[in-house]
Amino acid sequence: MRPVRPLAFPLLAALVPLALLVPGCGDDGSSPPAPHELTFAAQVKPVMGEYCVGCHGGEDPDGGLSFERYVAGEAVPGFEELRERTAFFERLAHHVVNGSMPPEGMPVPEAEARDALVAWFTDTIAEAWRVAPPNPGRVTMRRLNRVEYRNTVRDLLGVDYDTGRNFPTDDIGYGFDHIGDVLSMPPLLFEKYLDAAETIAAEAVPLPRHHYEAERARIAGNGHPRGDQAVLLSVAEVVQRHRVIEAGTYVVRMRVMAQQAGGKNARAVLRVDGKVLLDQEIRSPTGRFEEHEAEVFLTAGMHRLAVQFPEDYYNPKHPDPRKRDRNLHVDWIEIDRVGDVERTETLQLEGRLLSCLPARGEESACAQAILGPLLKRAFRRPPTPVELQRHVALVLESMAAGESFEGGIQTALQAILVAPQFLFRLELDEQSGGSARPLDEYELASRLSYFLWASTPDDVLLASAAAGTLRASLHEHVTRMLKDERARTLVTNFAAQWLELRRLDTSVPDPRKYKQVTEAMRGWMRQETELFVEAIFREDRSILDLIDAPFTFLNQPLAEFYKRDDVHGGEFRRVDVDPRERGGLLGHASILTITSYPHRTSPVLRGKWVMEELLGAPPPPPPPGVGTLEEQKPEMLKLSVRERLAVHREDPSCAVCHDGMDNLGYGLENYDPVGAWRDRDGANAVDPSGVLPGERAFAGPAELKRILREDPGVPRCFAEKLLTYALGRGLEPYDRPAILQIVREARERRFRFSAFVHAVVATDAFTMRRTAEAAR
Amino acid sequence: MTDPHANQGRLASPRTRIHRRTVLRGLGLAMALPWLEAMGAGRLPGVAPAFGEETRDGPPVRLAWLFFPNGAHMPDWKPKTEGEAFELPWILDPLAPHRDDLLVLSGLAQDQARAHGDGPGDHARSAAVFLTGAHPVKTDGANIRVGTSVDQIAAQKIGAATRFASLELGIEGGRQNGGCDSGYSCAYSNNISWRSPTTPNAKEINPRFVFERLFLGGKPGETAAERTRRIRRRKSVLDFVGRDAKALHGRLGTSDRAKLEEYLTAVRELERRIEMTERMKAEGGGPAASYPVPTGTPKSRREHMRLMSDLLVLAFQTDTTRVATYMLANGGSGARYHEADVHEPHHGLSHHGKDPKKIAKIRAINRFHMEAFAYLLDRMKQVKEGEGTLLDHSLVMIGSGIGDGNRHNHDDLPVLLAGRGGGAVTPGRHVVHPRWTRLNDLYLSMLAAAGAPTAALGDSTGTLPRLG
Repeated sequence: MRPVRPLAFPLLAALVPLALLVPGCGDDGSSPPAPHELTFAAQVKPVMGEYCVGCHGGEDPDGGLSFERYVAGEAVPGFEELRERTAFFERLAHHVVNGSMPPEGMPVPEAEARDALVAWFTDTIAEAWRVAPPNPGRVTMRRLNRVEYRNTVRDLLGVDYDTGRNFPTDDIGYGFDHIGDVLSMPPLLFEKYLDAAETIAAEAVPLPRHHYEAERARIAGNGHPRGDQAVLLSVAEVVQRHRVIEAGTYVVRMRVMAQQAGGKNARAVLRVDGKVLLDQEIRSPTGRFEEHEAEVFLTAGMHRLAVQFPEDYYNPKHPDPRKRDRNLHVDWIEIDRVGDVERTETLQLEGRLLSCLPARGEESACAQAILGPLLKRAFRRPPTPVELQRHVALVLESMAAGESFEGGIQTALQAILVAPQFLFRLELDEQSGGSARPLDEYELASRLSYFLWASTPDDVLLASAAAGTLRASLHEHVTRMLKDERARTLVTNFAAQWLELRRLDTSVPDPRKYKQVTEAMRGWMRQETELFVEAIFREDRSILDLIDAPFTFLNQPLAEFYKRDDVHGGEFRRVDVDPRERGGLLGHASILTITSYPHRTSPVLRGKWVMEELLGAPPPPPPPGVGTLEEQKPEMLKLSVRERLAVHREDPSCAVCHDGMDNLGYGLENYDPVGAWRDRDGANAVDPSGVLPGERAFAGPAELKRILREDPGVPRCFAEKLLTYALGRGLEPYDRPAILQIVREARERRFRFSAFVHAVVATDAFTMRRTAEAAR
Repeated sequence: MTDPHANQGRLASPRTRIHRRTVLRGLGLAMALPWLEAMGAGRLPGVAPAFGEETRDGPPVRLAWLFFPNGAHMPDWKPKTEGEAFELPWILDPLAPHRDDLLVLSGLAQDQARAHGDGPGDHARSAAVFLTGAHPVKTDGANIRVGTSVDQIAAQKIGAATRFASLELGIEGGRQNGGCDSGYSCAYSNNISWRSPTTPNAKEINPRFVFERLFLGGKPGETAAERTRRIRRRKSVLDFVGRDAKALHGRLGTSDRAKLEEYLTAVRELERRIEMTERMKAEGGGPAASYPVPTGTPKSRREHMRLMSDLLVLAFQTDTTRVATYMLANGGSGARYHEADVHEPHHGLSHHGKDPKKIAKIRAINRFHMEAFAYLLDRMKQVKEGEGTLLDHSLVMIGSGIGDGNRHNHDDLPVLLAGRGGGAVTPGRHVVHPRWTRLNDLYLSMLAAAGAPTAALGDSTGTLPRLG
């Protein structure tokens, strides 16, 4: 279990002269024993022998955990072992500090002996890390996940592609869905990338000419598709929506045929956005098609093209059956850009993807002018000359196969969008020497932008990388980037995953008991939490305010759910809350719902959530063979949940974790399974009091929050979550110094959100990479 | 919710296709092509049938594996008597019309789903082990590894004959938040098909996407010219990036290289498929080219499961693939089966602590899954092939990697095998194997029946006796 109160022991300096220690010394049996080994033999071993191995030893040690080798033999936990298993040894020390081990009823060591044991572990662990070789770790190359892909394409090309609908779910590791090791590339996904590339390229690089078959367009009024045409019987029109990317002059064409009748020629009206572009009389006899066109200036955006049949004639009594009915047949509608090279000036292509359109013979130069900057932004670094030349060649090859210049650029863009350099964030390993290397400026730019924006580096970052000034100005960049709208992904992507808010999509409270918690209501619950977290982040408050800030965001339905009548309308707005009842994440219906069963609260689940997501001390999984805490025996059914939990904690192997977990959950018992306030739970009055390990008692949620605010686990946990998210890999024991450094720096700035971000970005883990040789 | 069958009568007009997702229902019957024609269209010219000399002439053997999570309530699953005279217990009752096409196999185990020192995480483990018989590495992310699954062994050996080496279907997407099970990566709970020990094969859960992928080879509403252009581009793009990726290879470290290998495999797979689709088109159009497209994922779970079954049958029937896996839910799933009148999460209920109310609900979910299975078998029997039906030429297994969800045991698993595998299996019996008989032994037998004999897989000890 993580610290529940700061360790405050006199440093037993006489016993542990740390300054004399040398790295690695003592791990090898042939060297003379190091001082920490001597103190272990003198101070720790006898205590463990007397008070621990009775249960944690022998054939079948309790909890599968044996200390026998430290007691029976000469084994001493060496620096390497202490580093590898720091969390374990810390937990051991804290169980001893808290008095949860040895368990109640067993003999307990004298305070002095106990303190010596604990001090040995805390001090030796600290020393083991002080002398550890620095290790920034290696992030496995990361495929863009669904969110990153969507943001990247949006920022790169201005195209919004719905990856949530089109791509399979990304698997999750370490609580996040962007972990390089976990993100795989099955053929199914690759196929989706090919599809996406086609759709995106078609939207980003409009072909000059679009051809729409009328039978596939929408037919409004009395008409229907027949064969490869649309037949308009009486007043009706063929409607095609068309997106114009580049404003300019366009020609719109239609191919139509009239079924003539009634003494007058049929008419076909070409309309754009409702305005008549051309009112055309069809003079040809029945059966012969005509093409007609007209020019129009169109702005960028969606336009409505329509061919209308305005004037019907129908006389079923006409003696000649072929003269009874006047109809209009529409074969297709086309739109094409007018002009060729001249339009470059008039259309102001500056800054657009198609920065030029080539005259004959200039295709290669123009392709190069377009693809150079595009590749740089797509690959997040300048392309090599070979890469650029190959992409230009692809354009020319496509043109040789009959494509327009734009079609060639489309093809190259498709190749870019499925290239490994685009889909993966590569950090190449060719530079060697040493155990770690600093990331180059472009790699650093990518790490920054995907951390803070879940998207591709913008031009400012790339320019800074090109100038070689990024590393030196990290702080300024972070400050700038946090102010950007894109930093909202730290809420929607980082915090939503950290706090498990996405589980609201699948956590459905018992619909018979909680009718008001509709899908919409769960959406608002989530929105409340996101807006709250965003306020803490944007206003750069202390992240401890997440625990108890006395305000929140509500709209009318959610306010009414909370039994408030002072918020009106569907818009969310900021409101103050009564700090005795609400304030902070633990009073949010979202969190309280996802940590409940559909029909009742679970102090265990809530406690577990607090330990995992706020204190960073996930309880170890229950020992094998233990089910979830449900009604095991009928006589227990009469007891309250609280009483049932108390019964099961009589077993010390349950109590060691559940003491902490359950008590945290008790503090939230005033909130029902969907987070509404309650004073009674069925027949029983709610008892929201509890005692956390370290004899920290509280009477209800407000006091519990005060205790949590003081807990050093909270900033540390936040640092761990944020670093995991920033790196896209699970944290390893060797990341401990980085975590301690982040917490230290954040504490100096009173745990402000930005202090954490700056500190994360400053770690070696973020700015460096272990080399391939060192990894071996 | 509208009656899913209501639209059946309006199959004729291709105009209205987009509006009916359930229209596949009638496909088996509407399908005019006998299997030989359909297969001819699907097979590469010059490629011999993969199930060469050792099997008889006739339709190929198809293999499918279905998975359901959280075990079963075994007292209502396991028949009381062994042999041919067994009676179907309550859970299996929906399968009554298929009793004589079924083998109830008791006593089979997935030993590697046990902790073996790795502590809790049975649900993730039981899914990862289900078709691999290998022990997954306990990790939340780094170094994911279990074993190649039996369907992928089959795909390697007989998949080259069809456009798709294998098909992976499911009902639930990946879990959206948090770890999946006690320190196991979600990759373990969300997939049963493993292309290699380190690469899970993602499954498709949207019926529309399955259909488009399998049968359209193109996008709805695309003209021939647009399609030609798209395929030409696709080929040149694949060729282009394939070379890019190879050039990168030498500049990466080990774990990065493994990721790049996945990428290259995907590129090659897609290149191969385009080539085969092109040849198929050259030979007169895709077998399902004129069929309507399902529009998306139905809200009703029953309907969703049925639609996926329809697609599986269609894929087999048209010889688009001969190997399929289908997860009725993910490992440790907490789905709520409102249609079975169960409103609590499945996983929570499975730890029923012998509470009769919860047991009743678990049984109801088990039976709900068996209704879905019965539907699949029904559809397979409607497809006539040669002298028999598609089911006669298939082996379809359904089971769970956990026995009793309350105990989390991995021996005496609930396992059914349907079909005759072209004569390799004699169904209509309840066969009880000795305790801890390896489930993987059954897989060796299934592989052999499909003309893909394999010496060993995971923890197999040999083929399973008493199937014939």
